[in-house]
Amino acid sequence: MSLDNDEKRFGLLCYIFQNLEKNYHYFGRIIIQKIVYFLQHHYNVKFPYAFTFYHYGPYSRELDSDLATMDIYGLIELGADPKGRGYSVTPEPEKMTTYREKASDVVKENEEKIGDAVRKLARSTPRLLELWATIHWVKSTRLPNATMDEQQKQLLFEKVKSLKPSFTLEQIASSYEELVNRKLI
Amino acid sequence: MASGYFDKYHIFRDPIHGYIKVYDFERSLINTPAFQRLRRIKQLGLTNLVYHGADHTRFAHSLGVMDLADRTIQILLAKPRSWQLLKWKKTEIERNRALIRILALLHDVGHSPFSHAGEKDLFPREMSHKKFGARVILEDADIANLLDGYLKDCHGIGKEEIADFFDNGVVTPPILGQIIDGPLDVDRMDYLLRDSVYTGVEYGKFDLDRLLHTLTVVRDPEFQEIALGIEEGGVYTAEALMLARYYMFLQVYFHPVRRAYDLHIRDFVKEELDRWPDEVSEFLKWDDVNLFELIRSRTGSPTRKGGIAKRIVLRTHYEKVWETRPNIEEKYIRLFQKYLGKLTAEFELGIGDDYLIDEARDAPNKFLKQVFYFEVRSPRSRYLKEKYKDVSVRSQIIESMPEKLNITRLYMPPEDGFREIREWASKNKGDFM
Repeated sequence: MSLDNDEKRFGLLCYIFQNLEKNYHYFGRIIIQKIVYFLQHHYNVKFPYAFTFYHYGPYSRELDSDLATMDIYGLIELGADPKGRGYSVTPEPEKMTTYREKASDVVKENEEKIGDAVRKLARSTPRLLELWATIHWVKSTRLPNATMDEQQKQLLFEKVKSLKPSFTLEQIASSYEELVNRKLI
Repeated sequence: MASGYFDKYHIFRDPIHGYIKVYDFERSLINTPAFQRLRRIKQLGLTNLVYHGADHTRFAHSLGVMDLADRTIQILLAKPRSWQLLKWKKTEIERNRALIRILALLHDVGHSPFSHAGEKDLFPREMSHKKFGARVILEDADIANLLDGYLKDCHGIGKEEIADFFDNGVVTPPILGQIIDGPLDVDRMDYLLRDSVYTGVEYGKFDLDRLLHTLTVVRDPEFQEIALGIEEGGVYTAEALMLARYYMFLQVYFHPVRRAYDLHIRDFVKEELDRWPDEVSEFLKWDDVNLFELIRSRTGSPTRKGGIAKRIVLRTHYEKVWETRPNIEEKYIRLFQKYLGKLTAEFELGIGDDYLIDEARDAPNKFLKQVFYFEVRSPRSRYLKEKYKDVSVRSQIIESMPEKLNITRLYMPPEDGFREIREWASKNKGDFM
């Protein structure tokens, strides 16, 4: 089922945020961006977002815009982290209920995928999610048909390193194996 | 062509930035038909029907962005700390300077006629002027051959690398991307000043020189990634940039009459062509001039598109009847929809012929709060102490700015036949205005 409709899309996002809240005491835009990225590009949830590569890895402006609209609608509260770490997102449970009810069909269709994604990705730091999402993005866009033998793995790691120079090749390699183990790539 | 990229230059006089240096290779790119086409695409579409001076073009804007991009790099490299963080070798400096100039010069080459009018509806899904620009770079023979010829020989930069930035956001080093497309990007610096001058709307002005000179390279505190940031002394000019963008959106880009013409252009193109051609060579045949000529030629037609054409040529656009406040809460948007439902049922109105709805949406400070750091020098320490924080922690104005602008409008024909409906609508509007 398509998520072009605002109400359904916001409803599904509300469901995701309420799931995340159970796992994180604080989460912000980076975590949301990366989890929605995996939901769309790995779990094939039919979000309509276009992801391009930005400062913290794969990023969607439309998703950011949706967060801003949800803030205006009172579904979430976007607030600056006082430690200057970015932006926190606080769900507003009462207001979310109406949207979740309207989106009950898409929630039902996707709840297993969301549960799996949250289980595998939640409790990871934004930094780690940034790297994981970047590895997934590079593999999908630069090496989509690769068999991932040792040579191609090395190529993947070097491509990721060129985009994220602050990570070592060892960190990238280790994260790739983690993604494979978690069946996220 | 000069053997070294920066060996020979030409001067272009620009009304905003004064002298702009254009190097030999860049002039070859500028002389391609695909780039020359930007002389025939107005920066602000039909905004000149509101602000009559707004005749400036994407051509001038592209040159301005190129100039600012180069100035930014040179300012950053002149700061020892930025230099230390960037760690560019001498050969990399020249290569990165050339790359950012080309990215800036070509950043709008995929624009459709009348700029953003109907962009979302007239390009294929998931396509934008940026992504289409990537295709122009790869598929237009003149541009592609130049990039894969001289530029590749000189600096190892090919058309794929240039296109990758517009298609996927990828460029090496990543900081070049932030200079072109980020919270402090040179694209918005140029268009705000240029649009302000040509429209006569003063709110778009800010202290460009101060802003440029306070740009710096930082490491974000949590992830240690290199990013474009601003010194503490530049926070106020960053505020001014954000406010300039906010006011220009309210006064110019979201002006109700300009938006009405965007809708009319969109509807005409949909009727006439369905959407912009997918093939690059066909797409590049379209610009403001020949599209307007086509519109004019249809004014005598008794069809729907003839009616739209007449409105554009004779300036008898649909008029605003209702308009929500910016950033209105969701319950008022529902109220708007409820009243719209009553209105359309009362008079049996059809969308398009009897009314139009415009949803103007944008984020005025688009992630300015998020990817944006500043440096604080501790006054108590003998040594330079640096601390990076999100600028919204430092600036109450930035913190309190709305995340985005949402304005929804109802438009109706101005003709006498609709007077009774407009009067009913005026008396029966809800508390969303």
